[in-house]
Amino acid sequence: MRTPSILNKLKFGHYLIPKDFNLVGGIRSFIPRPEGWESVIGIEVHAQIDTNSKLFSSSEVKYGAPVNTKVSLFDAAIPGTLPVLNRKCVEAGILTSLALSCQINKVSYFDRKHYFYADLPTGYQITQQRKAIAYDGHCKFIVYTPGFHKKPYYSTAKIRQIQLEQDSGKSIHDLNSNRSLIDLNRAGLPLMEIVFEPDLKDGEEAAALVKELSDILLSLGTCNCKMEEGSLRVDANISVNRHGEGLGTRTEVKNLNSVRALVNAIEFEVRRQIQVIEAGGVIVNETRSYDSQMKETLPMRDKEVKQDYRFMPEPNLPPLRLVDIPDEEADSALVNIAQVRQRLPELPEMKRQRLVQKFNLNIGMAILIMNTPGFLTYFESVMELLPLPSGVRVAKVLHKVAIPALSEQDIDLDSCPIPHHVFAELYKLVESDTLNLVKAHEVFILLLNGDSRNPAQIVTDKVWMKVNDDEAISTICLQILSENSAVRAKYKTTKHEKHVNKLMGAVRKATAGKYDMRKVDICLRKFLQE
Amino acid sequence: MDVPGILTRTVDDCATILNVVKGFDENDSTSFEGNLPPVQISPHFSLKGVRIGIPDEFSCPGMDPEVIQCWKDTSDILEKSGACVSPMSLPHTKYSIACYGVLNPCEVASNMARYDGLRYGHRTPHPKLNSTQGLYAQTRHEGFNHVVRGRILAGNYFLLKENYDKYFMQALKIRRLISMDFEKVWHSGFDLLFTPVTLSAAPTYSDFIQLDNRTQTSVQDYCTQSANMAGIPALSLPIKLNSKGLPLSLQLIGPMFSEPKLLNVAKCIERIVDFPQLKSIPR
Repeated sequence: MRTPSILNKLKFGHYLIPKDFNLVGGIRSFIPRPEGWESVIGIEVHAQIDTNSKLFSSSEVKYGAPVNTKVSLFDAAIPGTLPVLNRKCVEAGILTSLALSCQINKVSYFDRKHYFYADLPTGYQITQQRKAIAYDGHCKFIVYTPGFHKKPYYSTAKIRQIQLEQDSGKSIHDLNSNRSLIDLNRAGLPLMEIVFEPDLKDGEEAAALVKELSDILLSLGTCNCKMEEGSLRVDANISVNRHGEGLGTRTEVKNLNSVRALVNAIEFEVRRQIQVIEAGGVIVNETRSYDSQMKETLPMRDKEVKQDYRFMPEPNLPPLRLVDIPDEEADSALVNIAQVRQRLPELPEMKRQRLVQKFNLNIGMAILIMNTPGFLTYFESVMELLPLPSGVRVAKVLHKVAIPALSEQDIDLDSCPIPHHVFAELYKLVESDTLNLVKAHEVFILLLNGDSRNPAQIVTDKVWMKVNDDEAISTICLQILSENSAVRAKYKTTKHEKHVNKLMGAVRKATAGKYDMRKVDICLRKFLQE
Repeated sequence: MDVPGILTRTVDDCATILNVVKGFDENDSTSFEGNLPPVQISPHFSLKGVRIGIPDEFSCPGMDPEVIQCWKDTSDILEKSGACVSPMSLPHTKYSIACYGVLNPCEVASNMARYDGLRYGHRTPHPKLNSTQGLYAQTRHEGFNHVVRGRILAGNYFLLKENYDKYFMQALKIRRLISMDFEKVWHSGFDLLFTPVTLSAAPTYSDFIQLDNRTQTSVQDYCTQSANMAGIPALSLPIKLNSKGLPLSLQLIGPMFSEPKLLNVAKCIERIVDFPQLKSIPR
């Protein structure tokens, strides 16, 4: 009998849906498919648990260590060695399972999965096949690729189970000398395998799910989620079917080591499957790899024959028993789910909701803030010095002024040398209509380059105050119009916007960007009508 | 099943070794964490009142009449020394060989998978095929004899997905029944069981190889299998020489953690039967 995760709901509240939200995303993919077709995707994620030692031995976990220097006798499968379970890995597994709203099995088992490969010293992997540590969870995520999706939308992927298992070593095939080089540093490293149900519709949804999952794992501290280092690996199960029909045969694509590869591999495979079926062929249930250079999936030679892994209970490990006792004096020999639950931090979705509620931001801006490195902390610190209602505009100024200036120097907001109170001063100048965004950008750059004056002083010294005066604006507009009579004539005939933009640009140049460009726009158009 | 056994010349030595190797090992996740005081062989230990069971099923077809006679005679001696000796039953004894015949090869197939010649042990010097799989296959073929190879193949067969329930799961259930047989026996008041340990005295090599290894072990292992399957302690010790001058031994089986009683009873038997130990041969 499964007990509902009531405690989870009580502590973190029910997920709130903001008002400006489009709840579509339930039926059709946003990526266009040939008429009548739909695609179904499920992913399996292998996340390396960020502990100091491996899952069953005390070898150190260290990325980039010299080859074969982090290998204990057990890792090398020396006869006579036995596995001893790393408690921290169990706690990380429980923490992750709770964050993903899973049911935790109070008793779970370890099994051996047998296959022969040079980077698998024992000839089997210790995993959890019969009964894993957690099952029946879900991950809610936002799908939004700017420029691709018009609006963000929510989707949910259900989790079938989360299991603890060993990683294998690494092999490098030296084709020139016809040999394989084996590095066992990674052999025995702890992994959480998170198996998702096929709830995704396209590559962009898969990417969004992986992004959200990474954010969650990072906030938990259970995985460092560096796909390029291999600490987060994603396999995709892909099938296509015509509307109204059942699920088609699926293929599995492995060896995807970046989010872009994930998206491209899925999209290629969907197109390939549709082409095969439309040409009268049949999809084979096979494993494929992805070639990121050619941007295509290829059958994996070794996996042509279906493997029978001859699962067997691991005889050297007793069942993993957990307790769930809120009382703090519980037996510390067993891992206590209640104690782990107390360590759950604020998860990304809660953070986004909090930003939306507290600062009245729209969800798109909240996503932007959380996705941009350093933005959230800097923003929250600045907002401690300013009234809450200005949150929306402060975010906008940070986005349009600070981020571009910083990225020119290749730094993020978390390394921004400008103190929060100084930025708050700059913001106040913009809000009071003293400074426009163009000049704010220039002030910011001066501050970035070490100018020790406060923003107001800089503006006064450089005479960069915004010119709002209607008369001044009128004068400059007339001036520019007389200097650009050809453009004016062209606009009169074609009424094309680009001519207005050209005139606006001329004004901006002539006035060093100080004028209130909104007013300039209105004024120009008024004169153009005449 | 991959557990150590202690082989010594006297019961005292056996207790000494046991006291060294028993107890909690932090590198062994299945070792017992509780308090286990050292086993002491007491000179004052008395057989009086010790309840000893004689399982009907252990006089199996093909057992040497001298073994059966030795078993009977020694049981009588135990009774005369004050023990309460009575017959009882372990109904699932006859399945223990088949049970072992499935579970053991599965463990062998799994535990031997690591012998691939890459990191230690034999590696074939002349691989015929130029691939990792080819290297493995030839190395393992050369490094394992036909007995081990047979067990590996059998084990892999039983562990195939389509066979797992039929063989492995079924064997686990049989093993549970065997284990429960013993549980019932201890609950009904028996302290130990007393049985033969082999079907005969040691056979000659030429006799032994008349049967293939699998059949031979399924015959010879009859008396030792059930304790192995139930995971409980057992001890065998030499009792007398047979008519051809070869030793005959008998077996004591006890519940979990009954080593103190097993060893003390064995010590009494050792004293009573006074088996003619080989003394060290003077130069």
